[in-house]
Amino acid sequence: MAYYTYSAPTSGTSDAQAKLGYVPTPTTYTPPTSLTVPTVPTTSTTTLVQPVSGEVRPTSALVYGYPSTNQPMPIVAAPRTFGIDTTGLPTFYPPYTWDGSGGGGGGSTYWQDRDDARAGAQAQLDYLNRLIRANRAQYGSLVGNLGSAFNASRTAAQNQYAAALAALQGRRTEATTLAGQGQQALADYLASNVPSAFAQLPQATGPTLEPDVVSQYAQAIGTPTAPIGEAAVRAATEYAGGSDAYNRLLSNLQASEANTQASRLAELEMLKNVQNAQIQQLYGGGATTLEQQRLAALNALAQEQAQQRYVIDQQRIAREQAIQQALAQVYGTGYVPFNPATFFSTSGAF
Amino acid sequence: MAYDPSLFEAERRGLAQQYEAQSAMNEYARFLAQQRGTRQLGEFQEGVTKQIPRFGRTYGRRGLYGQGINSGIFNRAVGEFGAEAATAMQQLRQQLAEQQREYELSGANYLANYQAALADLEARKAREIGSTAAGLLSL
Repeated sequence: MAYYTYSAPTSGTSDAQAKLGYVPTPTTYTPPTSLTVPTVPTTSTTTLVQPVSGEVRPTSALVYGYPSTNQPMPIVAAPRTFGIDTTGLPTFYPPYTWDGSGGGGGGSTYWQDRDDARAGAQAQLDYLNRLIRANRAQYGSLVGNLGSAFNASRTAAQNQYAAALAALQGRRTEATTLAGQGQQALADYLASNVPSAFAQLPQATGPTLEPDVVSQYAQAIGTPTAPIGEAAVRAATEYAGGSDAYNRLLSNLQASEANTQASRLAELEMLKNVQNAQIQQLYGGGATTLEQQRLAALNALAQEQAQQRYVIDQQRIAREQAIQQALAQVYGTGYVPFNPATFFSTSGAF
Repeated sequence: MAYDPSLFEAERRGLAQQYEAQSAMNEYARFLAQQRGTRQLGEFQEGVTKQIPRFGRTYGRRGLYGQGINSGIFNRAVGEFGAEAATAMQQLRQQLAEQQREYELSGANYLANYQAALADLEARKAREIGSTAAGLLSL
């Protein structure tokens, strides 16, 4: 008999609830709300115990005698055979044996005693049946309470997981934002501080020819100045190579400066990728740990619930077996009809 | 370690101080070199200027220079003297220019190193911010 079933979340639940898993919906055993105690028939010399179905009673004292009230005789119950072939076997009327007395006015108390015994057995039977019902009702109540308690624990565990996951997601967002601010600050700095140390250096120009005093003197006295000019040009040409060399050096330095800037920009892109990946990796690890903890908690709760349920079942079965043994003894007296269907019923519908 | 911007500011200040000191010394050295070169050039020009009258007197005593005298020897001597003077002057000017360029290049080197150090500092700052941000997920 299943007292506890699990059902998937019904439609309309949120995505977060669906991710949190299902909440078991217990199907509890509903005990009878009222246990009516059957009225124990009182033994009376004037009121007959109702005959048991199938019971045949003599109507007079022709054979067995009758009470002084001259009531119809109680019927002797047909002996129970329980499916056993009793042909040829002596008839047995437990527990009392007819002593054969009777006749005449007084008569024996056999049937009265038998009715009393049957009434007592019926009362005992009813009591034991009530005990079984009560046992099952208590069991159902216990199982229901157990289910409710563990449901609450599961819900608490799920809620803790959801809260921890939400906090982790919040920290991930904060970390991403913070890292982004750092990256953007670097990008802004590189954009506004392009290296220009060599770029701003002027190129070297060729040597200039300036009239010197000797040329002026020579010009003044009429001496040809061509040799002076040629010498000046020759000297200037020799040193023009130095300017070219300087300009080539400057170009290399400027190109190196530009390459360095490009390298820094590439480094920034790498930094962005690495930092974002690192944040995602840490978040993934944290989320996995939370999930493992959630599953471990749910598993521990399930195991504990099963263990406690087992203990309750054990106790219920032991108690019910004891009651059924007592019932068997009552049935064994033969004073109450034995109904295997109700004796072995597990539904509690006695 | 958690991100501490004050450490970076202290480092930046150190770099700035170092660059400013180097730049100032370089600039002062450049100024001195320019002054020295200009003085040398001026002294040379002055010497040449003083030599011209003596030059004329020397050749005048030998009758190679004077009014109405057109001496080839004198003209060649003047040409050679002028060529030497012009060559020496050009050398002095070129040396001065090259010295100036050398100091300018040194200054540019200092500036380039300073800019590179600042960029490295900013990159380290961004790296540390990212590391601190990732540390939030370990809480």
